[in-house]
Amino acid sequence: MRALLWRDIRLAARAGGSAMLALAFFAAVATLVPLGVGADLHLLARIAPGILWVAAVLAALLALDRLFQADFEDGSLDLLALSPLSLETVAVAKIAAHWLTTGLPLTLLSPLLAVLFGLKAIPALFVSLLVGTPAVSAIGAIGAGLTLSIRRGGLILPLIVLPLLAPAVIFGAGAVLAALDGLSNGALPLLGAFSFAACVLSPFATAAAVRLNLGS
Amino acid sequence: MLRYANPTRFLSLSRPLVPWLGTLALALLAGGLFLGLRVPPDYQQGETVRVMFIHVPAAWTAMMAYGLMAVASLVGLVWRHPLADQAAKAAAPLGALFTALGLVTGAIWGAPMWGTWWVWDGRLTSFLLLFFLYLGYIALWNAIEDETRAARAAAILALIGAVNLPVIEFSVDWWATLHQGESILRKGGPLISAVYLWPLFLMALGYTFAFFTLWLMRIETEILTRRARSLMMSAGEA
Amino acid sequence: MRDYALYVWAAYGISFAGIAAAAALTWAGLARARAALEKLK
Repeated sequence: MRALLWRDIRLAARAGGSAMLALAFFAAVATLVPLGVGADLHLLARIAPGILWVAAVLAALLALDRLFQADFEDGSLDLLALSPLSLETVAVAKIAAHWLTTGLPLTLLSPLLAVLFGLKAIPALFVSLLVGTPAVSAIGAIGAGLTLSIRRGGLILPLIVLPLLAPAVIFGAGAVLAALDGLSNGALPLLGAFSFAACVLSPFATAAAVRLNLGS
Repeated sequence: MLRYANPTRFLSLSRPLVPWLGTLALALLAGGLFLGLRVPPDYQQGETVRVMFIHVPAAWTAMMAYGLMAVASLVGLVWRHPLADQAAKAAAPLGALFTALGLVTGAIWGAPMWGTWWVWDGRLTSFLLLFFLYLGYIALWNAIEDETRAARAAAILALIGAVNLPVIEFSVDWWATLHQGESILRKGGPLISAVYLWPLFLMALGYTFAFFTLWLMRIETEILTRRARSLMMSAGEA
Repeated sequence: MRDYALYVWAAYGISFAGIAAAAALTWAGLARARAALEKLK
């Protein structure tokens, strides 16, 4: 399984890096919003948690439709299904590779972008993204599995995945807002629980989704 | 239940049933409408209380529809019941409609009542998410070409999204909110005066029967469409 | 309380229009499917 993980990471890093693409998109959104909303730093600091969280989620979703499609198209997904590795394990490897090449880099870039917004609660943002982006990869993988056979699947993946990611955005941004106000509203533990549940349950759902697309 | 797995058997049951269900639905809706417009205005809400009689039934039906869709999805996924997938597929657009009606009537009720068309509280947000879940479900069915794959993928999506239903239901308890708390199904009996409960229940039943009528009709449409398609394919091969 | 009858009528109008439209579309779809099947037989 470690071999699979390495292979996917190398592929992602090499393919112009969905990592670079995600980071660039993240930065682009973070730049566009102040242009649209105006330069009032008070306002920007207030909306930063939400904006940065949404931008991170969208950036992470960018490369998701290719998660299984490349392997599906050249037949290696069938080979993986036949290998002694269970599809659940394959799913875990792919989710981990995806997070390492999108979620983690996004989290690492976030403090820099937070400065652009004048956001004070940078550690809170960092922690919330660190805890929450695995859920984005996990739930996104389910969507990727469900849609892997769709050619021009482009927009349908976000459509089905975003409602499921709503709790992550709500709790993630909520945790940062709580830190800003100096309150504790339990958002971070809830985010942690959500992420944990997503990561634990997703491999099964993802494997089921991949299986149904390989079967028939 | 498995006896109606045979589409012909199902049709032999649903065809005579639909006119009755439809008539019953119309009668209930008419009755509910009559009572709803006749009932005295609430001392706090005035005339706008009448919107409750169409908002609450729409919301209930929207959630019931998703529940039925999820159950049908489960049956189709686990037991490979041939009609279950089609039943789930047929329910979705109806569910989306009732969710939309619930959202719109809720906003119309909210504007005069609480001075706002919308608020991002737990219940409204999760109910809005229900609408997007329906749209995603329908989109998935349409996007995947192979019918069997589409059915299974949509079923998985429906089941995952079902998590939203208890959230909608209990969000009013979990978070202090603008939307009103549970006033009907609670210990100690309903908080609403009986004179308002009658039009509410009549409308709710009317909406439910309307849903079932249209649902059965849509399932029949699915069955017939598939039959036509397989006839065309075998004619093409001949 | 100002006259909010407009709101009430709007809400009822939209609701019943929506249900009626759904019923019409459902009925039309069913009729079309039945006709298509008849033609093939």
